[in-house]
Amino acid sequence: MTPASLRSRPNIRRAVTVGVVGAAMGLSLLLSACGTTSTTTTTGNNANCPSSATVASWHLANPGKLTIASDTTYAPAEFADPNNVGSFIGYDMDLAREFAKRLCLEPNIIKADFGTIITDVAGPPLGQQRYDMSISSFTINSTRQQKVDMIPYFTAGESIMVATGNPQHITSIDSMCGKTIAVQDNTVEKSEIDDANGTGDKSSGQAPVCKDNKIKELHFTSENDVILQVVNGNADASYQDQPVTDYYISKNPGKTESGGITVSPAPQGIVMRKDNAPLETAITNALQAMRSDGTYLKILTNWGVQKLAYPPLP
Amino acid sequence: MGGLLQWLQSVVTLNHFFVWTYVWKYTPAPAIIQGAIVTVILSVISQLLGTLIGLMLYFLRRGRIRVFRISADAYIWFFRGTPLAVQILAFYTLFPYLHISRPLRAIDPFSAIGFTHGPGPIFLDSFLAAILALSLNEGAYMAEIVRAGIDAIDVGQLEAAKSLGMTYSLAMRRIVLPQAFRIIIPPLGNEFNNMLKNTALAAFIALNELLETGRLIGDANFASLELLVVASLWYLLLTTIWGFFQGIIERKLNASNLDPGAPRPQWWQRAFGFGQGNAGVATAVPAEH
Repeated sequence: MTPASLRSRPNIRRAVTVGVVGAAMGLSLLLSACGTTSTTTTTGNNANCPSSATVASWHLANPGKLTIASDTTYAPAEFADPNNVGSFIGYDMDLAREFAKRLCLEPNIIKADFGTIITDVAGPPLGQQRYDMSISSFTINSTRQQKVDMIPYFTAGESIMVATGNPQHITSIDSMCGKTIAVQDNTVEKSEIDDANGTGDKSSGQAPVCKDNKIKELHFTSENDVILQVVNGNADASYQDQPVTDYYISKNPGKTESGGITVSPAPQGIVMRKDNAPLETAITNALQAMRSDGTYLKILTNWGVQKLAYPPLP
Repeated sequence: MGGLLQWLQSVVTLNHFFVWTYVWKYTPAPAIIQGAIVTVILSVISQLLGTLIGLMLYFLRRGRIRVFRISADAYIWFFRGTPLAVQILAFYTLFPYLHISRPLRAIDPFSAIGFTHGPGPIFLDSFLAAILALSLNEGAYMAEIVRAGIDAIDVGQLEAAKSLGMTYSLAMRRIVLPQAFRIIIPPLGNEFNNMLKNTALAAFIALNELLETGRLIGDANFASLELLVVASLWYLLLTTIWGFFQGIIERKLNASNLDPGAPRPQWWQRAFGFGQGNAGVATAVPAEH
């Protein structure tokens, strides 16, 4: 009664078992291969370069490279070069490359979704992290500091971008009630809107002013999508860091304008793992050296954001 | 071998950074349940519309009017040839230019019926863009399934019905379609299983369905993987429930083909779909000899 095709099943199962074992053996070979390569760390020929023992203490995600995550949709801080989308530009990116240079490592900047960066830096065990660090306009707040260390390196306020003429008269969070506002996922701006609606986790300190007339919040993983909603008229305003608002207004004159600054400049931080003190020290020292020799201010000046330096200029 | 052991150990000790508490806390959370309901509503409406579109396309393709035949073919060619993700994004991006985004968003029927638990309202413009893309896309695939089902019915059936004086449409409705339906049901069930998961692409367009809700909660708590597990558990639950229903429908439709002596599948076989492919087949083979 049993068809031949059913009787032959044990053979299939055996074939699958052989395949799985084979794959596991292949994987183990691959892993041991990785183990041997990671011990040979190359050091630059510069005399100021750290010793290979120091480099080993950084537990880099990729040997010889400083792997830096950034949500490169946030001009002018970090964004894809319009003329060469494979290369990332902006003041954060210039700082990132400068860090790698001073640590005698190859800069390895990887585009990531803003919302997942902290998890991917801090989540996996040390040495297995996807990114060694992140420079991506992270405003320093206690929620983030519970998970990662943040080295202050810049300051930025928050502001509103509206269509030219500000037809909906949006100048503050209070005036956003009932309006459609586009915002990027997992930003402090989104927390403020959620808290204004009374639906957030109250971490931003914003009072629930729009509880009865909720802000219609459109949220996206990419800031480019956020900006697009204002440009194509889908949203009344977008809410993001002030340098970003100003940059898009300058790039699209006549289409959009600033609706107002809602939060005055507050420190932003470089995201570092809590359990990688040697690398954090190296980055902190490099940042200090960049401040002393003027490189830091030069980078900010190139992007016209020197007024937002941290600590503030005298 | 040492490398493998070390790696296996890290697999086992995943819980050092994978916090199960998040999974237990958010799996039954109202926000996630609401997201799952949105996913189901989206799937059911899109599958119904998609099936209707598929039927319509079949008759257009088999019809006498050349322009309709070519248009139906072109439709299927287009919607099967472009990614669903692109179609969803395209409709959403198109809406504001048609001046329908804002009027739709102002209606907000979901908040009115108590969908207020998610990370934000379910906006009608996102919802309709997703429905439109999902059902138009599904229609193209259903057209092929309907074609296979109807064409599998011997043309003699239609001829016999006509010789009894039935019109084409009556013969279709009374003779051909009921038989074709039995053939269409298994792949249709497969399509709906796919549909339940394809709705996750609506996360692209700010629609707070199951995946987007989980993703937002996960990212905000720095527990992305945990909430992906939560979403997966819900997708598994939904597809399992559907598998159960599909089994019931198939057995009902296949009742006359079943061997009365064949053992009834166990509940777990029905729920997870194991062994369902054999229903009716085991008896059909000897019956032909």
